[in-house]
Amino acid sequence: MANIINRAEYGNLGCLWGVFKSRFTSSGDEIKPMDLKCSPEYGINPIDVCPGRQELPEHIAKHLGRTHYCPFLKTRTDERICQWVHAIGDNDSQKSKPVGQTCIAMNIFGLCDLITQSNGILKKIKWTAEAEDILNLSWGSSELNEYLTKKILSYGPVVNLIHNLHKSTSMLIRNTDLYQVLSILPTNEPVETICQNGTITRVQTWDGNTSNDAVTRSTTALLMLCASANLVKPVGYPTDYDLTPFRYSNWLTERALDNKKHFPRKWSINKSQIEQIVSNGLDLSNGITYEHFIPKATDRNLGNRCRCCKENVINNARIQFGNKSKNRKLLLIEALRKANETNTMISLSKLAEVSLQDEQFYISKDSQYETILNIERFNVALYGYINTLENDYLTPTINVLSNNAICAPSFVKLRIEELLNNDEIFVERLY
Amino acid sequence: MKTFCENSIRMPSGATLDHFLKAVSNETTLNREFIEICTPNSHALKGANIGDIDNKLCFGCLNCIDVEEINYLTVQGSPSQFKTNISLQNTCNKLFQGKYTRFGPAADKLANHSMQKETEISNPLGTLIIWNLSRDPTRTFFCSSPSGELSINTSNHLDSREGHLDITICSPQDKIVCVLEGKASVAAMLRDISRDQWDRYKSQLEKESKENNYTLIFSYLVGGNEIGLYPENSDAPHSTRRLELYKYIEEKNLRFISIEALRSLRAYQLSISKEWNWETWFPKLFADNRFIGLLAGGIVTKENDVYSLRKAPWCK
Repeated sequence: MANIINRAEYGNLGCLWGVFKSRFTSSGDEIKPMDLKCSPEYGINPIDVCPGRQELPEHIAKHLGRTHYCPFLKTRTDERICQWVHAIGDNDSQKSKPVGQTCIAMNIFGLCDLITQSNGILKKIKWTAEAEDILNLSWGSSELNEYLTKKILSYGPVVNLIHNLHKSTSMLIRNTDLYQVLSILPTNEPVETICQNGTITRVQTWDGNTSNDAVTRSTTALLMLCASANLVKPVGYPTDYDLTPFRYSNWLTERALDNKKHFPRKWSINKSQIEQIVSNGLDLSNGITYEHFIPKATDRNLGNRCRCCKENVINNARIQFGNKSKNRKLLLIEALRKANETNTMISLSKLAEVSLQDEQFYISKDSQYETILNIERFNVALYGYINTLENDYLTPTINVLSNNAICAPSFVKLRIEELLNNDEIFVERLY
Repeated sequence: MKTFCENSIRMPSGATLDHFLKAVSNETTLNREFIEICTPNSHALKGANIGDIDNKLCFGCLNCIDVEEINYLTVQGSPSQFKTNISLQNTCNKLFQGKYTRFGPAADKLANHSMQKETEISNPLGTLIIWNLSRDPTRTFFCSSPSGELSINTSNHLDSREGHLDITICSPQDKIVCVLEGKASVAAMLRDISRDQWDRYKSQLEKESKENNYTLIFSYLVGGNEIGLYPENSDAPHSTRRLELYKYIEEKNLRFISIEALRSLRAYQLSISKEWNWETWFPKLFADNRFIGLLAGGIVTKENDVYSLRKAPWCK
């Protein structure tokens, strides 16, 4: 799973606060994602403490057995109750998707760690000590606004966005303008997958976004986060409002109550704020880490079935070759880190050549160089590890921390260290 | 006065017409969902009583009205606390006569409201009117917009996305299911031509309803002003989109019902014929090869390649 939120509503941080306040127990406690959902079993549900909740008229409250509703759902009586986690029970058509997104959002804000199975499926979340530290802050307080803003500004995809917005010559952007820089690109390398019955199918690896929709949704969600951090301002936002997580969430609620439930699509760039952040130095303490380098295998296209067992061959390919794709990304990121530390540049052709020494780092020998050059360097930039290319040489444009490899298998980390010991990969910078 | 309906059924994600028809065969296990009758979000109804209605916001859909309350209506079709001298029957005598007509003096209110949003206004509005037009509303179930649409698996190699059925309403005891593809207005219907929903959905819906021994009614439900839906040779005022629309109807052999026609049927049911129900009349209309559409002024038929407006068969 790539821990990039890809539903616009998860950019509304008032909801984050409601879910967190209603479900946090103690730092170190583990809970299942489904335990986040609204349920009559709990004394307090997100809708009871959410800053955006609205009171139901008495006759409706009596019918429904609850006193508040979420203004972002299409109807007040909607049994999903909360737009972020939905409610428990058979009536929830979305099953685990909403809580999955909620867990990703809480992870981005340092409130929980994600405990995943080997196939990438989220098993549990573990509350962090940081979460306990902010529990008693009040929604709207300057301390909480600062905490949330700091987390946004150090989140990998937002760092990449800041970098791109800084380069932009325009003062206005639309969501569609950013699809290019916010897409996880697939490497499309030819592979053979073998099903349980031994049938071989030739496919291309699809380790990028599962669909175009996913890019559309994550772009809006990331821009929503950027608005909370005062990097962009939605067109139509009141001029006398400042932009903080608190203010922006309030504005979204006001719009929803005015029946404007669609999310903004056009934004003005806060150039002075971005200029100040860039000149102070970008912070990548919250980059995307190893276990989230490729999205989960969720292709649903009926045309991509194995002719003998009807398994989805694209998903199979992702499971069989996903680790190689992740290892290659980590190799590139670690190379960027070393280049930053030694003030050198990376020779991409040499890095590609060296990576072919171990099959854990390539999928197709023939296309390894082109894949790193045209695909993977953009993917790692999206994850926050921004870089610039000149001829064959790649230069890191950010201080890459060592926390990106935290969940990588130790043999992969060790092998990367060995491969990067080749001094020919790193060359002196020209400036 | 009605404020809630409990016959909206929440089906699991990806449930199709087939799943729904099988589920309604056992009413006790259905996942029912409360929905507010005055849509959306009790738009004009601030409490549970007639006195709580904001007449400026009410657009007279007649969904909250019970039969015994028909003498408590304003000229605009809004419920009133006081007995009025408005005769709904006089208005209804002009409906479905094969002549262009509009309901009441404030017909534009419904048209303007219903054309605003397809999923949040016109679809649930249409669903609730049909539900009210049932032989037995307590045993008529539906899945509809804004959040309960059924899926229809028409995905293929070119388009991996499944479709959704805007309105599905069925009467298990009569074994009839009505599936409506909602469009907020004539303009919205013409805008979506390229989506080719009619051809993609029809054969699959026929298959699933036949397998469950249900009679299928499949049609477009069009909100907004219905003038554009009247045929060229009727006495309706001129509409710039009419020729374009009828070309599309001809090409795809479409069927349509307007929201205004549904509201008119509700008024007709309340004031003239309490026995009128869609389970009796819709199958008769749709089984007739000449039938094309249902409007407040009558039914549109096609005979000898000519589209005409005729008197509805339930009118004497």
